[in-house]
Order: sequence, then C-alpha cells, then structure tokens
Amino acid sequence: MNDDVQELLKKRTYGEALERLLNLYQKKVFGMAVMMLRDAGRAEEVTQDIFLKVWRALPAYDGRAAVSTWLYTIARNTCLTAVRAESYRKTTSIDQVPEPGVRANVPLELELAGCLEKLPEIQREVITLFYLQEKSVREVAEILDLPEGTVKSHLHRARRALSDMME
Amino acid sequence: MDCQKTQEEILASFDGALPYESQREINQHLSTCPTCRVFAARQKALDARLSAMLVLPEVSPGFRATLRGQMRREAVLARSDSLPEIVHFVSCTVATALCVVLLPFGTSVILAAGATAASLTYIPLAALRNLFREVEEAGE
Repeated sequence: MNDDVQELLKKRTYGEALERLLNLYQKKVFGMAVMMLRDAGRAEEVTQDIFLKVWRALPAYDGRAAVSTWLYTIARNTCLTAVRAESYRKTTSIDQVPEPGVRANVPLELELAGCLEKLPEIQREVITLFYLQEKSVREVAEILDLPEGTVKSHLHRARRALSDMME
Repeated sequence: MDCQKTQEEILASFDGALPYESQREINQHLSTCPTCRVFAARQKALDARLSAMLVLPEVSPGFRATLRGQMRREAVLARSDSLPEIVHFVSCTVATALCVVLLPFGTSVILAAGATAASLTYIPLAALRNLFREVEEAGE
C-alpha cells in the first residue's frame, strides 16, 4: 500500500497520493486526534490541518522514513500544538469533556471515564487508542512510535489498574 | 500454569487471539481457581465496557470536500504569491535582452553579466526560503 503512495510521489501526482493517504490513514489520524483532543469536532478540524500540512509537505518527502511514520509524526506534532494552544487538559474538567463515544448520561460509563483519567498519561493514551483503532496493537505501536511489546505492557497495566479502581 | 502466568495470559487474550494450547491451559487453570475466574470475569466485563464506550465517531460527510477546498485556495494563493517574482524575472530578462541588442558590445556584455549574476541570486534565495519553511513546519 505504501509502495503505491511512493510510486505516485515519484510521478509527482501529489493530489492522487494525498487521496490514497486519506483512504489509508484518515480514520487512524482522526482517532489519534480524538484521543489527544478529547473533542470530536475539534479533532476533525485538526485532522483537516494535518492532511493540509501533509499535502504541502508531500513534494519534500524523501522516502527515508515509512510514509506512515512520516505522516504520524506530522499528526502527533499538530495535535500537540493544538492541545498546547487550547490548554485542553488544564482548563476543562472531565465532567465537561467526556471521552470519545461516551454517552454521558450513563453513570457506569462516566465512572469508567473517570477511572481512565486517573491512569498515567501513557496508559490512558494506549488503552484509548487500542479501542479507537479497532483493537490493533500494531496500529497503536505505529501511531505512538513504540515497540509492540511496550504497548502490550502498558495495556496490561492499564487493564489491571482499571479493574482495581472499579472493584 | 500458576495464577500469575494465567492472569498474564488472560490479559494477553484481549490483545489478540491466543494459541490453542495457551487457551486450553487457561481453561484448565480456571476450572480449579476461583480467584483467577473472578479476575477473568472482571477483565471480560471491563473489555466489553471499554469497547462500548470508546467508539470512534465518524467524520462529517463534507470532510474531504472541505479539505479539497482548502487545498485549492492554498494553490491559488501560492500562485499569486509567486506572480510578482515571475513578472519581475521576465521583465528583467526582456530588458537585458533589449540592452544587449541596442547597446555597444562592451557595455552590453558587462550588463548581461551583471543581470545574469543578479538572476542567479534567485536560486539560493529560493533554497533559503524553502529551508526556513521546512524548519518552521518541523517546529510546529
């Protein structure tokens, strides 16, 4: 799949290359943005920014890193900038911004969202991404640029901690 | 299989399918260990709740159309940004060519050399501009 993108880039058909990247990564990048920004609407705007940056940077892509690694780096940096700019984590409480997909009127889910907030940052990121990325350890590892073994270890710790908190 | 190993395997089972042999050993242990049975039941319930809660919302239907619109606007802006430079470069070339044709040989050679040297400065200028843009984007 990435080879197709590389071929299109060699032919300098950047529009088609972006279309291919959107088909491959739009959902994954959006998932990452939702996890980091905790607001689906804002995450969609940031995802647009990410792909716009990718489109601008396509002519300069040199193929040294895999396309996915390169794209996720842009995505992560853009999300971090957005998080910092809006100080999401400092100015909003968990009651105001539920986790993605939370139906806020269900007390059990609010309890679980609260427990997720108490996890160390990396465990919260890993377990949230794991479920948003259709339970793929490989995808989470690629997005967070971590070895799969490390992702599994964070997942296991997070599961144990959540289970203990909810006892 | 002891309790610690069983619990590790139970946790691993949520990351992806376990080999048949591991699954068989877990089941064997669970049939005799109530502590691990409770652990397995709790983890299963937690997995179900997380699956139900952490669902990725769909992006709005106009997502790609909006993105394409932004790309078109950027492309137009980029063209209009470089337009003054193109006009400048073409007019300088025409003016230099006219001078070469109309002025005496010695003067026209000096002028042409000066104009060529000046136009060559566009290359490092463009390279520097791209470099600054890349550094700026990397910083973001």
